Amino acid sequence: MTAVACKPDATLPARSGIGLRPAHYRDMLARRPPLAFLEVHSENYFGAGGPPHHYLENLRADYPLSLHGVSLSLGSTDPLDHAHLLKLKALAVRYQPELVSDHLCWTSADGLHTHDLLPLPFTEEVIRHVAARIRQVQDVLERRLLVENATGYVEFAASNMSEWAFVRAVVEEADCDLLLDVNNVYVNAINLSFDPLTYIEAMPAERIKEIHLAGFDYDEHADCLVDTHGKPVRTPVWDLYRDTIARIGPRPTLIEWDTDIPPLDTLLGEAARANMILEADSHARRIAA
Amino acid sequence: MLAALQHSWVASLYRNGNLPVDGLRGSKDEARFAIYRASLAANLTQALAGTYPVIEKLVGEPFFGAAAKVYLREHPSRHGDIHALGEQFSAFIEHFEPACALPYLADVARLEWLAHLAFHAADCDALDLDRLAALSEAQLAELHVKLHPSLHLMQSSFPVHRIWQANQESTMAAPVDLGEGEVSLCIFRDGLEIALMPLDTADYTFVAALQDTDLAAACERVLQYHPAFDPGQALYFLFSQRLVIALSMGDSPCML
Repeated sequence: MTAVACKPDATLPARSGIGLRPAHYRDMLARRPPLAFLEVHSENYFGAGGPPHHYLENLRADYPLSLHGVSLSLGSTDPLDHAHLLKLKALAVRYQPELVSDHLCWTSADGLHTHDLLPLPFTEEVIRHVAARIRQVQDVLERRLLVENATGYVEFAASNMSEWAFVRAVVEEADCDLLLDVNNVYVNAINLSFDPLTYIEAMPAERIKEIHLAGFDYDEHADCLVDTHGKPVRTPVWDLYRDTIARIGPRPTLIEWDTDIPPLDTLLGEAARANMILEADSHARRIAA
Repeated sequence: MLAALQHSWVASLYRNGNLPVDGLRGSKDEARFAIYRASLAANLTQALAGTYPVIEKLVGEPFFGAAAKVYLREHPSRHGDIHALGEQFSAFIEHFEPACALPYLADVARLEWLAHLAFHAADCDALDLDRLAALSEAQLAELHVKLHPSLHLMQSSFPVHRIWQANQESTMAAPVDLGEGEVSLCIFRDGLEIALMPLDTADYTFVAALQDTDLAAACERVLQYHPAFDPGQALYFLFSQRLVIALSMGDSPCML
C-alpha cells in the first residue's frame, strides 16, 4: 500500500451548515443566508450538467462545501466500484470541496444496490476489510476521506466488540477522518441500550472533522428509533451534541434533512440553534481559560 | 462470513416475502429488519416517481407504488447512482398487464426517461447561425453538424407531448384529445427547463440523420421521401433553438 498523498487539511469553519436540496435551490440563490458551509449528496451531481450543476456552481462560489456520498459501499464484499469512485474524484476535482465523506456501512452486494445504509457486524475481520477499502478510496481520491458512523437497528450474532471500539479501530487502521453523527449515536444507544456518552468518549477527537445532526422517528411496532432525517433535531440529541462539543471542542456541524423537506427557514433555525451551542461552548472555554 | 451475510440481506430486501436473514441476535430484530425492507421500497419508489412524475400522476400514487414494487423486483438497482434506476421502466410498463387499459402509458414513460436524460446532459455552448453563413458551398457539402447532447428524439402513436404538458405542475390541466394521433418529438434542455417540440416527419428524419451522418447525406436521406423539404429552414430551427454546438468538415476533427 502506498502512502496517501494527502492534500493539506482544508477545513470548514467550526460553525453550522445545512444540506443543499433541490427544493431550496431558488431560495438559496435569492437569499444567500449566512451559513458556514453547504453539504450535498455527491451522487446527485454525477450527471454531466443541467440544473443541479448550475445551482451548485453558483452557490459554491459563496460557501465552503462538503461532498457527502451515500453509495461507495465501503463495507461491501463486492469489489470497489472504480467507475463510481472516478466519478466522485472528477466531482471533487471540479468543485474542490473542503471535505469528502461517505458512511461506515454497506449499501450493495452481489451487484445489487439497496440505496440504504446497512449495518456491519463488529469484528476484527470486518475492521480489516473496511479499513483496506477506505485506504484504497483515499489513494484514488488523493485526499483524506471522512467516514460517518451509521445507525444499525439490529444486532449481529457475529459481533464480538462494541460499536465504538469498532468505529475507532476502523478509522485508526484506515488512517481516515471521522464524521461523527451524534443523532446516529443516540438512536443506536436507545435501540441497543448503551450509554451514548461512553461511545462519544471513545471516539478519537482529533479525527472528528465534522458533526451531523438530524431528527429521528419512532417505529412503535419494532420499538425502534428510526433515523429518517425528516424531523427537527430532538431535545436529547441537542443535549448529547452539547456534551460532545464540551468534550471535543467546536466542530463544523451539519443539519441533515432528507425527507419531508421543510421550508428553508426551518433549516436555518436549526442551524442557528447549533451555532448558539457552539458559541456558548466557546464562551465557557474563554471563561475557564 | 460478511459475504454470506450481505448476500442473505440483499436477497431478503429485494424479495417480496418475509425471507428471514441469517445471523441476527436481538429479540426485536425480526421486526426491526422489516424497517430496512420498508425503507428500501419507499426510497426506491420515491426515486422512480422522481423520474416519472407524470406516470405517477396519471395512474395515482397507489397504482404507481404497486407497479414500482413489481418493477424493482424484476429490475433491482445495479448502480450506485440512483438516477439510473428507471432505465427499463417504459419497457416494463409496456408489458405490465394491469396498465394495459392505458396504451399510451409506455410512451409517456419513454418520454419521461428522455426528459430525465436531457435534464442531466452536459452543458455546451451553442453556435450562432452566422457561423453557417460564412461557409462556402464546398464546405457545406462535407459539413458535420454536432447537436446538443441533451437532444433526444422519439415518435409515438399518441400525442404524448400534450399528455406530458397537461401534467406539469406549472400548467393548467387541459383535456387531451387522444384522437390527435401520432407525434414526432424533439426533446431537449432549454436553459434549465425541458422543452418538447413536435416536428414534421421531414424535419424529424433530418435531425435523426444529422446524428449519424454529414449534412449532405442527411439532406439526401430526407429529400428522397420529402421532395419539398427545405434544409435551410430546418437548420435555422436547430440554430435558433441553440441546439448546434459544433461544425466540422469531413473526417477532420478540426472545428470550423
